[in-house]
Amino acid sequence: MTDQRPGIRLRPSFGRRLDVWSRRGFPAAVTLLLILLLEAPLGLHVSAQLQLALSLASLFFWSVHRPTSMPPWLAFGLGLLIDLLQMQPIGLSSLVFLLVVGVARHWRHDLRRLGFMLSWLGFGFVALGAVSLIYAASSLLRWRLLPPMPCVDELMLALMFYPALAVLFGHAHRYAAAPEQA
Amino acid sequence: MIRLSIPFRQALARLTLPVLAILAFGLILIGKADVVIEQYLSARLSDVLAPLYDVVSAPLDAARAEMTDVAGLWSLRKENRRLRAENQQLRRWQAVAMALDAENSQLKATLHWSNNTTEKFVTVPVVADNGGVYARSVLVSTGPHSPIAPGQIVLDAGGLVGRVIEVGSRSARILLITDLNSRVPVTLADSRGHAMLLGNNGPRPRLMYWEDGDAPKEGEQVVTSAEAGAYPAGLPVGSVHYIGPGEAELIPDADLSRLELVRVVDYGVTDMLPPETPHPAVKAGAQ
Repeated sequence: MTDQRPGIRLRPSFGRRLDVWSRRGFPAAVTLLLILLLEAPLGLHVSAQLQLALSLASLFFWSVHRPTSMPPWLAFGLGLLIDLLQMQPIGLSSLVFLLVVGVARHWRHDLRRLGFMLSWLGFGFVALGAVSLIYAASSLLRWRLLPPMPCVDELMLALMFYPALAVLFGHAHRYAAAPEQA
Repeated sequence: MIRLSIPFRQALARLTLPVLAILAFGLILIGKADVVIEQYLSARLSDVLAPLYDVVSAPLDAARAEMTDVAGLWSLRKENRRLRAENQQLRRWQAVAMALDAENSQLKATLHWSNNTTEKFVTVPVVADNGGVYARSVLVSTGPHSPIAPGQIVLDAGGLVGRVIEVGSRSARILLITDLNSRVPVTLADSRGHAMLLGNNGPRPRLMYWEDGDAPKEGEQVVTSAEAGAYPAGLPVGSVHYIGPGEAELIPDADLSRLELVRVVDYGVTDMLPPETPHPAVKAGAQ
């Protein structure tokens, strides 16, 4: 969003604009980096689950706290990337991510007021919905009942890592990812 | 830049999410009807990522090797003793193998055996763990103009890894034998009975559909079978392990969780991939 406050200001310098853009792009860059990092052969056998879990946490957090930095097209793009990397039916993660962004945006004022524990719970419900949808759609699209365990792992990992990510992202939200501080 | 009125822009902003959601849904339907786009996109993405991971993997491998070295220092004496014993045993086996090899060539000569296929292979590094929640595959980095083609068999130092399902210009994707879509016809080494190896997404694929009276024995070696023409006969796959009565799993010989270098072998096995099939990957997966 462009600055819509009234008044005349100097055109920001190139360095400052770069600063604003890098801050605005912080959530996208961090999420992308997490996804790509987990794609490396780390020898973790839950890295695929972790990839989705951390993306969900990041999408949810930024949609609640700084929705301008997590626009729907970004969620769509990240979902597409995950689908291609994970050999999932293409478009599935995009759809789920968009729903997560939509829900998080819709409840964002309430979620921000509720405090950490309740927003964690809120994330739990959103992640549960997302993971169930992925499981159901994956099974339906492949026309066979898939083992549910990987999805349960996904949910557990998402819940486990959300607090840590929320602390880190919360810090970033106040400093590194705050365009108004540029 | 086009100047839009604020209410119009707000309306547009509110519309992006539903429009994108519909687009995503459309993509799912298109992807279901036609796999060409998905394959094309994922091959291009792999081509971009493979060189990237190739660069990153060098320091990663170095760090891992360093760690192993440091850990190895602690058990140097014990390891040495174990290796000496193993070496002695291997020497005995070497003698046996050489005797058998001589006998084998003698017997082949007697039988006028003419099955001397010469397979060509390329060794490539695994650069990314390209699996998903419901897919087990790895990405290998290949040079440009590599002879790798879909359907070729992939082995590591231990045994069968899987097969090539997708080839880009600098990367290839390998479907592991543990993938849900993987089906490998196998032979039990002792009884010569046939069975089927079904990937289940876990670290150990299931062994199923053996003939009555030919139940696999615990610890029995399992090799590929040439049945259906999908694999050449006799490649080591793993050993049998029972998890319950009538429920046999396979402990793969290949180190599937830590693949670093793999051999892509061209056995000329293309029976399952007729030339008119536009997308061998789907066939390769489903057989």
